[in-house]
Amino acid sequence: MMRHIDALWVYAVLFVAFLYGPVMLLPLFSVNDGNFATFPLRGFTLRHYASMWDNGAMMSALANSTRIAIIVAVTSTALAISAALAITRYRLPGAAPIVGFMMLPLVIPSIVISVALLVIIIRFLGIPLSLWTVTAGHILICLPFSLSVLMARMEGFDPSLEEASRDLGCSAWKTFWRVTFPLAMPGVISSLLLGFIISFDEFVIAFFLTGTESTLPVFLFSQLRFPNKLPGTLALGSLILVGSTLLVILAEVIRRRGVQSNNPGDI
Amino acid sequence: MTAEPLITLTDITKRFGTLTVLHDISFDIGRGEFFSLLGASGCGKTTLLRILAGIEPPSAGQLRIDGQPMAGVPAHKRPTNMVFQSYAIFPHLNVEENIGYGLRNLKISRAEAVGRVAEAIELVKLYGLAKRNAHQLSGGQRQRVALARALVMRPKVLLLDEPLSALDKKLRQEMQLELRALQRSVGITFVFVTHDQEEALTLSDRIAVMSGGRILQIDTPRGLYDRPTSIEVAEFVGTMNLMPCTVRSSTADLVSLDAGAAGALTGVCPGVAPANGTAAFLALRPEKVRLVTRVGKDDANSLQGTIREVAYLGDRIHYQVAIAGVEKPFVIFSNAAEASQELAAGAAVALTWPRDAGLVLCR
Repeated sequence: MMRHIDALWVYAVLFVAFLYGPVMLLPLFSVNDGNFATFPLRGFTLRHYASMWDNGAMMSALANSTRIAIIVAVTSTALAISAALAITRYRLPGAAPIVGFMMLPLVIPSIVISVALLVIIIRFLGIPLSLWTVTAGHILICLPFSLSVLMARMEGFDPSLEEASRDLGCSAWKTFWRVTFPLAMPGVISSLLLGFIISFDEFVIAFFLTGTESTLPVFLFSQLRFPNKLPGTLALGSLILVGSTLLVILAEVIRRRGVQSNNPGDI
Repeated sequence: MTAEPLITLTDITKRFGTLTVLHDISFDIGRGEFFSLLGASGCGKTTLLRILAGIEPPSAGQLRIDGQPMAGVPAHKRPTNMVFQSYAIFPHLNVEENIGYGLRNLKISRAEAVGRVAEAIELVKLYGLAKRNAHQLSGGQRQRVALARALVMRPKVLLLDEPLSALDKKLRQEMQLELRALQRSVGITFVFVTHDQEEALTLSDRIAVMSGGRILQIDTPRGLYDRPTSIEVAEFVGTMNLMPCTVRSSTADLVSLDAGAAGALTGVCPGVAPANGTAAFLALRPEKVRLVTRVGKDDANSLQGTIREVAYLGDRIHYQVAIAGVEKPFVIFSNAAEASQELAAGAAVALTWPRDAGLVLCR
């Protein structure tokens, strides 16, 4: 059979190449045996990966980012669970505007949020900039994502399950832990993963709100001024690329499995 | 039914915003009774059940269960358990865990809980399915799990919200018989919500017929069928033929009616006889009327009509008979063995019935 190559096929290949080609340069240069990220390639090496562990500033930035991302993921998920419960379980007056308000950070450019937060934190609250202010900013932008994932999950299951639990002698609190939370679990996990990724990758808010310590994206940005340090950052970038991709795939798989099963409780 | 009722409702009213869905409902349910709430969808029967369960609070009125006032007692502290219409089987738990779900809230030992679950599995015939997951169960099995999960709590009252409506006809009839036998064996008071009049008649000791948030009549299945007190109940429970009349006179046990061109008719009145001159209906059950070709001398009541349709059902025959001046044709059931061949579609016939076979009902 003749291989069928038409315009659409070419378009699809170019599309993927433009989308992922530049990203693929990262791992490519990270294993290039040279101090500058330029062609021609000079040979294979893993020394950039090895020297990464000796770079104290980079490692502490990585630790900072990981710590912030975990705190952000847990906090925004916890806040979103209570909000999603309130919105889906009770007839709240003005529920629609409240949800819209909480979703707003999705559409406001992060540069605007950053400047606004900077003004508020320094001028009105008088709090010194630190990793904590970055954490707070990240919670703000992660909340809409957590909320939409969890609301979709909680709207999906039969309210009589919770009524049945109450009827069988469980208080509201026990019902939450024995029925609502286990059933919302796929949503909770994907909210945690989403929150982690968003916070870990976020640059603008972190750049504006951080103090003396930096998060990983901010650190990487500062390294761009030193071309000979570039391969080391490329090595780290490649690792993050792989890690993020895995996390996003995991989050999506869990979310899909939750949607697909006709019984909303299957995890 | 013993003298002291288990459940007493007094003037229960429920409003959602400006909409009143229950109007001053008052009645008693006896110990060990199989009591049904029967009505079309939207009549308030499910809301009433949810008030009994404590899931919805009443807007006004008192509810007592076993002498205890239930005002302010939340669902998880009431001696009631419910079988939900959707069954509400916990999808993340298996059969055994579903059935044992509520036992953790009782102050009983682990060993006793395990024993009770095993007993309940036996009671509802779910042998060998203890470890099955909820989504591996059929509709009938889910229904049994829901039943076992509620019964294992040994409630004083079991509330059932249309538990059979999701099952196919054959399974539903099987479950009806089983449910009735189960209720007799455990002796727990059942309050059963249904829109299916046949189901209510089959299962219940007593039935409350509801419409528009009010109770129309509470009676035994036989009482509802033989002595409906309103046209609504008469038409909802079984088939009823209605002949418009005017009340001419009434004695203690017989009402004389004027049916215009059709002549004079008689019937009995289940309640207080309406005043002379009142517009009323003579209500006749399809099996109380006999179809004949010629009216005999001793036939107390008779009407002339024309057969429209004949439906042969094996054991019996359904006739539709058009009567002059009556909008809806009369439906007559007669025993197939006794039916005459002359009664074919288009034939002119006479309908006759005894003097006390018809009920006088007002709109």
